[in-house]
Amino acid sequence: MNTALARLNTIFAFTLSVMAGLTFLCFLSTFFNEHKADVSINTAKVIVKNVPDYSAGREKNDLGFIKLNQVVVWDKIIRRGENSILDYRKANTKYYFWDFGNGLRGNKNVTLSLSWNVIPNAGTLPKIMGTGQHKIEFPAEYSPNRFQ
Amino acid sequence: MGMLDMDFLDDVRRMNKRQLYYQVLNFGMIVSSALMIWKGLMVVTGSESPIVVVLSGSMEPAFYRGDLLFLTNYREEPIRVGEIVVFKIEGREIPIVHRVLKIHEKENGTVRFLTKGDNNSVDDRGLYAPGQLWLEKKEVVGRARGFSEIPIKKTKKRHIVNVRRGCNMWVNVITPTSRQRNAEATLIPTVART
Repeated sequence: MNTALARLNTIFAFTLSVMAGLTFLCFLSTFFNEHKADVSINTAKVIVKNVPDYSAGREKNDLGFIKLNQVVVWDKIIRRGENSILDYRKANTKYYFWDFGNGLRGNKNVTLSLSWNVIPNAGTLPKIMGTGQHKIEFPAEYSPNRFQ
Repeated sequence: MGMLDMDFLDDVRRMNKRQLYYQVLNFGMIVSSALMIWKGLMVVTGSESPIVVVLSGSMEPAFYRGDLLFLTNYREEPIRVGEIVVFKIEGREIPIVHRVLKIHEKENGTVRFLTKGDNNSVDDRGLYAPGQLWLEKKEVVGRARGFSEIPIKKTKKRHIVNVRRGCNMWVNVITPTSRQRNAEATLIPTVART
């Protein structure tokens, strides 16, 4: 009964159940957190440019008759303990819009919003959208200047 | 170690036939209940592999190697930008865990999307099948819904464990109208793989 193997087995099983319990407590500690926050976004200068792209296919209507587009234009990773109050001025977009059809120029209905995703030690991965959006319009003309 | 094996064998030798059968059946029960739980999870979550292990560092600092992800894959839930999806590309054995960077949804409900690893500097087009520009819904194994890090493997990095979790944020835009590391995920129970 009290062989080394049996004892090892018991210790292993006990360790596993303790860790499972701890993981569950971790999950509980973040599950009820309220992650909502207010966000204010503004845009200064919006330009659309005509850029030849040789990497993509030539089928223009590849993505045609679109109901919804979502594109990430900026992102940031904030680690635990770092300043989580973001105050950016004159920031550029990190990723650009790429229009594979004809939906970008003159689009009057573009909404910018900020969302985030909190990674716990153990638990759910909530996706939160900040309250506060900003609506912009794209200009109807392509920018003539290449480096504007 | 030799002593342990001997003890164990002695135990077996001392059993009569009935006890031996019972042990074998008991073992079979354990294996089959593990399989049942796994298959049951598959039904409940709608994902072909509800729990995956992260195999590489392309989603650091969110996911490190060895972390566990719990996936769901409900048909009616739309895929949105910022979500972490696990997808399997044709011709690649191991699924990849990355965040959705762009999506384009058509009137008829078909979705095309592009992914990127948080720790990679470019999007995933280089990882997709040659010539493939977008992912489609059929390639998605699941969306990450739950997460658990594995404390055992981090003995070396223990001091940074507490600060490395944080939050990832991104700005969405919604309009209604190299060398890369790739985060690979694997199914945990190899039993269920067959």
